[in-house]
Amino acid sequence: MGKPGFSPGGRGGGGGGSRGGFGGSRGGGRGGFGGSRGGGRGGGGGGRPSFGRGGGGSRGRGGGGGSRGRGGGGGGFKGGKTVVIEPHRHEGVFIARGKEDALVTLNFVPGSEVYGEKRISVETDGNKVEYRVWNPFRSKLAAAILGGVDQIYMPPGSKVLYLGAASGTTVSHVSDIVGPEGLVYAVEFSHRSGRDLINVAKKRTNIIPIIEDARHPHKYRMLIGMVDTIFADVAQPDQARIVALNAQYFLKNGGHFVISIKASCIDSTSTPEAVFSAEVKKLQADKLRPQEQITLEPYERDHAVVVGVFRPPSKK
Amino acid sequence: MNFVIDTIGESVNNDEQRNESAHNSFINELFKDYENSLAVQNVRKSEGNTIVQEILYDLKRDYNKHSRRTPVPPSNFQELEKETEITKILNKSRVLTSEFEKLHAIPPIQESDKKLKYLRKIDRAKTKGEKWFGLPATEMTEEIKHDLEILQMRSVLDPKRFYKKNDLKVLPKYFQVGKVIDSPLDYYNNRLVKKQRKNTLVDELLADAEFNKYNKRKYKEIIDEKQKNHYKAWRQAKKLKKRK
Repeated sequence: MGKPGFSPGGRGGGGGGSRGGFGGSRGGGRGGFGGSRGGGRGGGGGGRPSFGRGGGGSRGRGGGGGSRGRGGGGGGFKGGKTVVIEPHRHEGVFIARGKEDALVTLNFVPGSEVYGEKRISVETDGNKVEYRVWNPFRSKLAAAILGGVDQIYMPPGSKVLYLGAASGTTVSHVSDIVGPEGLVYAVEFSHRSGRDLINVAKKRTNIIPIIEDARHPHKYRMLIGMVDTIFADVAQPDQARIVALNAQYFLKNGGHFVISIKASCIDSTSTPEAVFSAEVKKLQADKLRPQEQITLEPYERDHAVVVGVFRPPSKK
Repeated sequence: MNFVIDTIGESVNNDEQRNESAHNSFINELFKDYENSLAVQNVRKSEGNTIVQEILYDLKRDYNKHSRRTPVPPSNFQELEKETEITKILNKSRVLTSEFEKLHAIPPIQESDKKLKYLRKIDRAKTKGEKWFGLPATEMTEEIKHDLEILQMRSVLDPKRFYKKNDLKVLPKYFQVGKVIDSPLDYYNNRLVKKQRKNTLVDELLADAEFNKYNKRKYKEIIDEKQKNHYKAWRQAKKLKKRK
């Protein structure tokens, strides 16, 4: 199955506000990239701060209006539209096909949304299930999946350590993917966004929120068992060290890691490519063997996602 | 055969036997008398019992009349139970059937491993599996098929929308058809009005006035263009159409 572009609408300039609608909630979290991308998303510049939610708590239509690329063409996801849900290549992930395609996950808590995302209900002879649309502009994991990453190593039933959980938007989708038999340990340092994270975890029983500094895994070591995968989105200069530390504590041998690297957060003076390769070198020194690296264009600028394996078994 | 070795003598032994037999007969007679007396007593008792039972039955009947319950017939109850048990066994049994003798082979008590494997395979094919939370293989009705075909050919639906390659070359087996839920956070133009809400993608498109207008115009353009530039072919087509 080919990769589904979060096709058209999305890119040009906020097809019918589906993207415009989001922006605001992060309060400039992942703001627009200057003027390069016409209109579309609200929020000011600035990278994703380590404590996710900056200011405006008002959710909803951030900067929708503006110069809409194509006036009110109507996205494929108007309320009431019919869509077809199909399995994605990655386990636990689905695609919703309509006029547009979107990545969706099966809602672990039917009837509730987390950050104002669109939901799709499916009724088949009596039993009702619900899917939640996963926006690649808000989640680097979704962007990586749409970018065609080979493996995310988070099948249903797996245990995932999520570093840099912020307010729990992507974490909620990871909890959807791992399902009732899996577990997500979500580590976030900031109290402000940690509050939102805890609210998400209240409804989703497979998330264990940990409001602690990921630099000091010994502080929360008693809360976490062995995990299958570490996902890190901490955007800190010493990200590689943080991931290595946590891997030594919690990641099983032969377990996997998925790291999103933001070049400007690590070294804003050198070129992104140089930063990525330097980070990969650091990871290799800590027995985190990278297997794949992709950039997150066009969803994020100067971001890379590195997927790899920790202490792989020898090939004998 | 019994061999009795006589060591003491015959006469003494015979006398003793006679005495014993006389004694036994006396005891037997005594017991007979006792038994007779018992039997008389029993008859009396049973007479008393029947009277009591009759009275009880009458009472019960009266009680049942009052409570509007149907009186349970006192007899035949156990027989009925036996009958149901037999029918149960008959229903369950594979051997005790009317056409058993016509069967070519005796049906096995357990399914064979091969059959079980086959059944499991059929069961597995009904869903995409645990890894996709049991996404079912939806039945391909005519309507759903049309919808999927619309998705396949969606690149021609809207002139202002462009797609990458068609990644739906074959119709999917495992899928579900869903509806986007209204969100109160949405602006009004981000939801369909009641008139536009339809059950299938095809109906949605047909309800879309703009789409219909565009399609009609395009169709007319093509026909006109054919009439102008490929006059002969156009006439041929028209003729064929008429002949139908």
